[in-house]
Parts: sequence; C-alpha cells; structure tokens
Amino acid sequence: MTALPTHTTKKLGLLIDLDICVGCHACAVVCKEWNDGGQFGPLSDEDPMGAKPVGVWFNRVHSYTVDPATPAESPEPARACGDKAIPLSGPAGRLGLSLHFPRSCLHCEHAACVTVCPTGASYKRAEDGIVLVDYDKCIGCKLCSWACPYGAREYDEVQGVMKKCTLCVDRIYNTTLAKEDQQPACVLACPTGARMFGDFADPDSAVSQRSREREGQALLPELGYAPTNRYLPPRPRRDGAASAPKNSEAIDAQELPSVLRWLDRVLSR
Amino acid sequence: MNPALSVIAFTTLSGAGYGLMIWLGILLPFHRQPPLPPQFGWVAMVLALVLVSAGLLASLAHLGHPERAWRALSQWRTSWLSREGIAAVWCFVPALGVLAVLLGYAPITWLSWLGPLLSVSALVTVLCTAMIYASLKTVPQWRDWRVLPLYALFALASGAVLLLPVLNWAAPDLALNMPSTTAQAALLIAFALRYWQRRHWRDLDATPSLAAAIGLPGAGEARVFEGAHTEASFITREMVFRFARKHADAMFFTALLLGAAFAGGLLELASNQGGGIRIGFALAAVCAYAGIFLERWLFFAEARHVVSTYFERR
Ligand code: SF4
Ligand code: SF4
Ligand code: SF4
Repeated sequence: MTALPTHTTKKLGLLIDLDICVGCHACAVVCKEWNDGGQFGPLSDEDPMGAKPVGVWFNRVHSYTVDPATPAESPEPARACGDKAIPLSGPAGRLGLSLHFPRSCLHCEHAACVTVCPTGASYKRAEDGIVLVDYDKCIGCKLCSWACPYGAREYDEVQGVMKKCTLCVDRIYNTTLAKEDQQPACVLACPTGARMFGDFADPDSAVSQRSREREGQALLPELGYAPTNRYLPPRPRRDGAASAPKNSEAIDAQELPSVLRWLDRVLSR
Repeated sequence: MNPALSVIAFTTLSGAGYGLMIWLGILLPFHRQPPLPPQFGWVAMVLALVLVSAGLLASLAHLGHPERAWRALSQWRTSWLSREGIAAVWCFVPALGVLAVLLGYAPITWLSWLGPLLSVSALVTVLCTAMIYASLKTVPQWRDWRVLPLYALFALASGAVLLLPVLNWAAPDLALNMPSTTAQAALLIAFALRYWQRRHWRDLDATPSLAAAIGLPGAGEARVFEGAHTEASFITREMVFRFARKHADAMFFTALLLGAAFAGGLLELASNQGGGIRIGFALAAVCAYAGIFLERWLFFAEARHVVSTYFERR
C-alpha cells in the first residue's frame, strides 16, 4: 500500500558525520557486497568487466570542496616549508575544505517515492519507518526514482525492478548474527566511525543525542520530504554567510550520448 | 531529465488520440449543420483508438515488467500514475460504446450521453498524465500551473488537426473553413502558452545550491572535487541530463515553425482550395505532430531534476 503510515513507532535511520568521513568508500563497497548476496540481492551490473560498467549501488560517496563563507575570516593560508611559504589556497584564493558526502536513502517520513508508486511495490513500514521495495510487485516504471530528490533509488536493468537501501533490514533484525553485528553493513565497515545507526524517534537514543549536540542537518528540508537520516556538519572552523553558486551552461560534449554529440556538432556550426 | 523516446511517444500519441476523442464526443452527438459525412465518425473513432493504444503500448515498453502492468491500477488513492492508468482503461468503455453506435450495434440516441461521457473521460485521462509530472517536487520546471492546460491544449490541438484529413476524405466537397480555424487557434494558443512557460523556465531559479544540498546551507560555495563514480549510473543517465540552451532554443524554434507556422499555413492553404481531396490537411497533421513531438522532447530535456545538484561540475 503506497499510502504512508500516519505514525511510525520507531524512526530508524543513519547519522552521518561529515566531519570525520574520509571518503574511503568502504561503506559503499561493503553495502554493495552485503546486498549483492543478502536478501535483497543481487545488485546487478551491466558490462561489469567491460569499458562502460554500470551497476546498482545503494550508497555512493561524493567528494566536494567547500569554500569558507567569508574570505576575510580566512586569510590567505600558507604553510612554511624551509624558508618558503607554500600557498594552500584553492581556486577562490582561500583555504577550501574538502568534504566527503555519502549518499543513500534517508528513509523520509513524507516519502513521495512511496506515494507516487502505482503498484504498491514501494512502501514505508509503520513499525520502524524503513522504506522498501517489493521486487515481486514492482513493474519498473521508475517514477519513484523521479520522485526522490536524493538519488537514492537505482533501477536494476537486468531484473527490471527498482532497488534502494534497505537500511540493512536483513541484518538489523537478523538473530542469526551476533548481537554486535545486527547493524547496517556500512556502519560496521566505516573505519572512522562516521556512520551511526539508531532510532531517531527516541530522544534519548545515541543518534538523537549526538544529532542534537552537533546540529544534525536534514537535507533539503524545503522540499518537505522530512528525511530521517541526519548529517553532522564539519565542526565549526570559520562560519559565515552563504554565497550561492551560479548555474553554468557548459556541457562536456564527450559525456553526451552519440546522437546528441552529433546534434551538438551540427547545431554548433 | 532524460527524454526517453517511449515516454515522449506515449504522451504525444495518446494525447492526440484523447484529443480526437474529446472532439468526437462533442461533435458526433451535437453537430447539426452541415451533417457529418457517414464514414467520418467511425473512421475517426478507430484512428483515435489506434493512437491511444499505440501510446499505451509505448508506455508499456518503458516498463521493466510490462506483464505486471495491471498492478498499476491498484494505488489510485495516492498515485497519479495509477489514476492515469485507471482513467486510460476506463476510456475504452465509452470509446467502444460510441464506436458500437456508429457501426449500428447500439441505438443512435445513446450518443447523447456516450459522447459527453467520452469527452470528459478523455480529458480526465490527459489531465492525470499531466499531474504525474506536475506533482513532482523534484523537478521545479514541472511544478508549474501551465503544465495541466498545456497537456490538455496540445491534446486538443493535435486532435483538431487530425480531424481534418478524415473529414476531407469522408466528404471532399466540404470547404472545412471552420474546423481549420479551430485547429489553427488551438495550435497557436498551445504553442503560445508553451513559449510563455519556457520564458518562465529561463528565469526560474529554484535550484538548491550544492552547499545547501549537502546540509551546509551557511557555508560558502561548494564544488565537485571528485565524482562518486567514474562511469555513468542509473541516476546520471536518467536524471542528470544537460542540453545546452542555444541548442534547446534552436529546437524550440523548429517546433514553433513546424507546429504553429507550417501546420497553420498548410491548413490555411488547404481550406481555401475549395473542394476535392487536399493533401495539405494530411501534411498539416504531420507537421503539427512533429512540432508537438519536439516540444515534448524539450519538456523532458530542459527539466532539471534536483538530484543533478550533487553531480554537476561547475
Ligand atoms: S531518500 Fe528518496 S528513496 Fe529514500 S525515502 Fe526519501 S524520497 Fe524515498
Ligand atoms: S519502479 Fe516499481 S517501486 Fe518504483 S514506482 Fe514504479 S512500480 Fe513502484
Ligand atoms: S544501511 Fe545497508 S543498504 Fe543502506 S547504505 Fe548502509 S549498507 Fe547499504
């Protein structure tokens, strides 16, 4: 049933610490590994050993640089090296912060990916808020992936159904695993402890407390999806006002499919 | 968004078919003078059914499991796609009913209620299709009040243009000035509204900044330093589609030229030719469809999904 539950007893989710994530992709790889063989696998790959491999992953790690908000608070940085000062500034002439950003399903409270589903294959569990896909009902219309702002759903071309992070529902309740292993695979694999799993409905849970202390952020709250997962921002360095980046129209012709590349050439004349 | 051929074919073909149905539902029971030619009704109705079926088949081709398509009728309480599916299936009932009347299997008086029922059902189906897109918060270009009237207008316009070659074939002596003017007006209004929508898109600044998208709304500018994957993924293929604006402008201009100028001009010529079979009506229909097809391609290609924010190198 694609109507959302009005209330979920628990709100299970992940708390991801952007301050200590080192961008090693361990969580992404172990997620692929576990889920390929777990209850929700396989996560099919097309052309896995070929020139253009494409495959289903539930978790992806992006790497970004972030400028400090105000240049004044961040003087031109330099590092002494012998008697020379080596500038450390980034493209904007300021010290940039590199930041690694793991992206997976946020198990939203107002998950439009569920309500748009025409078949009832996508659903949100009333007991713990986990959003799942029933592969036996999914017709592969892909509308749910259009409705997700966070790119959390990836379509399996081989099986013709939609797939997504299950919050490792086949681990967290799996009593055949040792108690300490009843956690999402990505949480266990993270070498820096940047991922925590827990119940955000319980204000005393470790994730709720940590999120409160460190001002855990919900992504794109203005869209109204009310994601459960929270991201902990880097610990304060030099804060300030935002500067909104502008859109660029540049496209890389090499990245276009061949028909469009041809169109690009013809129209560019 | 990736302009998938199956989705464009689905919306334009079924749109044309439903547009025809809307017109037929009104014309067949209520049109009096001059009397409609006897062959016209059922031929136009069959054409509408063929277009709608072709569109629906194209949409099935988009599915990973077309054999389970029946399941899509179950979630009408929340899903516009499901509602669209139900409306589309329901539409066959009044459409086949009208066809039965026209072929003499049902009393002619039934047209007076089957006709309006068909028009309303076809219009509702088109509006449900439009709502699939208009309801997505993830694509700011589609969260626009013009999306609904545009889908309805393009359906009506393509239906009006398609009526003409059928009318001309069924009664070569009819001048067809009135229906030509109607088709011209529908095309003009539709493309004018679409032009306005594109103007609005150009000024639309609904894109979240990358810094906000990663939960650092107070930070400075964020840039892609390294992608999450070296090759394409489903998300980049399906959602992160960029088409340079100058090409899009050229394409939209072509759509206007074909769909409004050429189609309108051909209708003008053909309706002023007096009598006989006039090839201009058929050519106008082809031009109008080509223009609407290009317009629909751009409706997808120029729509920017929020998730692109995580990927685009600036
Ligand atoms: S992150 Fe996307 S897929 Fe996950 S619940 Fe939210 S909208 Fe749905
Ligand atoms: S792809 Fe599957 S899960 Fe997603 S909306 Fe369609 S039927 Fe539902
Ligand atoms: S919770 Fe499990 S399925 Fe979700 S990202 Fe982590 S490892 Fe992958």
